[in-house]
Amino acid sequence: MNGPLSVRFSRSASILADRLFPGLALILLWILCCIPASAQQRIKIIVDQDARGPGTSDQQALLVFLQSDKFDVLGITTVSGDQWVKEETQHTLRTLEIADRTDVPVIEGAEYPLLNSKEESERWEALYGKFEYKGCWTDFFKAQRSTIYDMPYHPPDVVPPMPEGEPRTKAQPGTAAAFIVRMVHKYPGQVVLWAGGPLTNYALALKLDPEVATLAKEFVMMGGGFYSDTGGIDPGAHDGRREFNWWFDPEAARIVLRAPWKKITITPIDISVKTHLSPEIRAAIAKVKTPVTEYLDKYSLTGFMWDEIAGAALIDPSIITGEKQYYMDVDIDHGASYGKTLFWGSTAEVPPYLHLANVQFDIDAPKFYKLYIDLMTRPPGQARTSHTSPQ
Amino acid sequence: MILFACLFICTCGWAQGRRKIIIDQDCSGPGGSNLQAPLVLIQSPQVDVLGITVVSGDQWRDEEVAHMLRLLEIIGRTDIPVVPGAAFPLVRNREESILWQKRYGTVAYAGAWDPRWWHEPSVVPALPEGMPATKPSSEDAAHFLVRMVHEYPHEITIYEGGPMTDLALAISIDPQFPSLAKELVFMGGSLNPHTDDPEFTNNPRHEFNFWFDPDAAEIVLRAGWKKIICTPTDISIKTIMTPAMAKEIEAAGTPLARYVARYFQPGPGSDYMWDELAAAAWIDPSLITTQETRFMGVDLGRGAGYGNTLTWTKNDQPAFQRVSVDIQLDLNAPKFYRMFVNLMRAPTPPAN
Repeated sequence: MNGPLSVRFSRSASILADRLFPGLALILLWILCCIPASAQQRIKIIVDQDARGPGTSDQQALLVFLQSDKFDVLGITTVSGDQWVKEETQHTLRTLEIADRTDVPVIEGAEYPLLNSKEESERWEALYGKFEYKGCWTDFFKAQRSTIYDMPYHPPDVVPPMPEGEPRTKAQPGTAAAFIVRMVHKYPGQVVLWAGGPLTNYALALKLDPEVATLAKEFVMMGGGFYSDTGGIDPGAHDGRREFNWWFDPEAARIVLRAPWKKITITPIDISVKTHLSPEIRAAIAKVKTPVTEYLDKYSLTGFMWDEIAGAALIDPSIITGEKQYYMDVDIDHGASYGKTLFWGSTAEVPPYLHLANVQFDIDAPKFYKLYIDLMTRPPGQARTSHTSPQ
Repeated sequence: MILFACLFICTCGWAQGRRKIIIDQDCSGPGGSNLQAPLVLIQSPQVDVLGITVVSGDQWRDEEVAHMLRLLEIIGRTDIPVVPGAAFPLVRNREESILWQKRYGTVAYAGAWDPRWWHEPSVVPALPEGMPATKPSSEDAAHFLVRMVHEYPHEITIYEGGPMTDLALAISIDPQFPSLAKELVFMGGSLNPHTDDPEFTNNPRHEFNFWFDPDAAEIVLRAGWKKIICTPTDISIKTIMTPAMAKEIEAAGTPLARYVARYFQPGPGSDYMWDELAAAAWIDPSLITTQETRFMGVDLGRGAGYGNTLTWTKNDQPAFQRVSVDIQLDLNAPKFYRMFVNLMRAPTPPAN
C-alpha cells in the first residue's frame, strides 16, 4: 500500500467518523490496521536449486526470490545438477552476502542422484550418442559466452576458487530433506515448495515422510519438456522431451510427479526458450549501481531464462499468458529414453498414480523482463524478513 | 575393594567389547522370523543393539512399529529405540505391482501388498499380543542411521532383514554412510535355491526383499561398503523351525520364551528361519559351512525380471565395479538350531 495515500485516507475517514458516528471510527481503524497486515502476508517458500555460480539462471532465480518482498524464503536447499552440491552451496552463500540476505539459511542437499550416475550416463552416451551438456558430469564445459564458465570436470569434493569471492557465512547443519520435512510440519498448508534443479531433495523428503505432499501448499518446478525439439542431441540442439533436471535424476522426478500434491505447476523448456536475457536487459540492470547489479554485470550471461520464470510468475501470475493441464510422468526405464518427459492430456484415461499438473506454455515476455529488471535493481536487503530465528 | 575393582573393569570391558549393530527390519508379527531375528541379536550378550529401524515390507511400517514396541515391552528392553523408517518403497508401488503380476504372473507372496491380509498403510489393527504403551522415536530411520555411524565411525554393523529402502535413503542423504559403517549384513537375494517350494522353482532369482523395493536394493549394492555379507534364499530354505524347538523354548518359562512359542506358526512357508540365520551367523560365523564371493546387483528393467537378483564372478562382472559380497550357501543346521533355542531360552541381557 502506498504510504502517503493511506495516511490521507485514514485522517479524513476518522474526522468523518468522529462527527457522524463514534463507533464507526473504531471499525474503520480496525479495517485500516488489517490492510497493512494482510499486505505483509508473504509467500512462505523453500527454494531448492542446483545453484551453479557465479551468475547464470540458477543464481538469478535465487535473486528473484531474495529481492522480492512477496516471499518469506524459509531456506535455500542445494542439490547437485548444473554443478556439484558443495560448490553450489558456496556460490549460494556468497550470493546471499552480496544481496544482503544472510538472514536466509542455506541447507546443503543431495550430492548424487538416487540411481543415475556419471558412469551410467557415459554408458548411455556410448550407446546412443554424446551430450554436449551434462551439468556437473560434463567433461569440459565450454560456455561459449564467457570464459568464467569454461571449466574442466572436477570431482564432487573440489570447490574451485570462486571468482566472486569466498563466502564468510556457512551452511546450516542438517540435511535438505530433513529441513523440507520440518518446515512443512511447522507451517502446515502454507509452504510453497519450489525446485529449479533435479528433484533429489524433494524425492528424499517425500520418502522420509509421505505427508510432505499433503502438508505443502503447492509444488512449483522448472523441469520437463514437450514440443520445443530442435533435433535430437546434436551439438547446439536439444531433444524437446529430454530436459536436464529430470534427465539428471529421473527416479526422483517420478517420485515427485506421482506424489499427491494439492497443486503442481511446471515451467517446462517450452516456455523457457521463449525468454532471452538480452544485452539490453543486462545494460538496464547495470545502469543502477548496487552490489547485486555489479555481480550481475560481471557474471550474468545472455541466453534463456530457465529458472527465473517460475519465481516471477509467483510474484505476478499475469506474466503467464498460456497454461495447460497435463498428466505428467517421466520415463525411468534405463534405456534410450531414460529421463524423458511423459505426458497425457487432461481428459485421457490414466492410472490412479498419475496426477494433473499446470504447465506454463506462454509468457508476456516484456512484462516479465520489466519485473526482472525492477527486482534486480532494487536496493539489496530490502526484502529482509524480521524473523531470523534459527529454524 | 579389589573384587569391586575387578568387577568394574570386567563390566566395562564387557560393555565395550560388545559388537555394535543397528537392526533394519520389516517387523511383521507377532512372532515369526521378522521378530525372532531381532531377538537373536538382543539376546546375545556379545551384541549391543543401538536401535531398530522399521521399514514397510512384510507388513506396513506403522503396524510393524507397534509389534516391535510391544515385543520390547514384553522382554523388558524398552531402552532400545524403535525408529520408524520408510512407509513406501522408493519407486515401485502397489498398483503397478498388481498390473505387473497380471502381465508376468502372480507372486507367491507380496508382503504388505498381499490381498490375503491387505489393509491401508496407516491402519494398525488390534495386536493379538496387546497394544504397546511405549512410543517410537521421533527421528526418521535414515537420519538415525547416518547419525549413529558418525557417532561410532567404523564400529557399527548394519543388519538388514527387510527391503532396503531405509538404507538407500541413508546413502542418498549422506554418501559417507556406507563407508562409515563397519559392514552390511543382509537377508535378501536369491541365486539358485534347491527346493520344490513353488515360490522359487519357476523363478529362482526372485526374492521378496529385493522385489518389494528393487531400486533401493540396487542403490545399496552399488554403495561403497567395506564389507557385505548376504544370506540368500538358497541357505534360508535349508532352515526350518520345528514344533519341538518351540516346545523346548516354551519350557524356559520366560515372557520371551512364552511369546516365541505362542506365536510360532508351523507349516510350509512360515517356518523358514530367513532372518534369524543372518543374525546368528553374524554372531557365530562358524555356522556357515559354504560361502562364495560374488558381485551382486538387481534387475531394474521394468519387465518380467524387475527385482530379480543379478550376480557375477570377478571375471565376468560389469565395467562399473562394486564391492564384493560374501554369499552364504550352506550351514551347520544342528549347531544353528541349538544356538537359536539357547538364545531364546536365556535371560535377556539388561539394558546398558
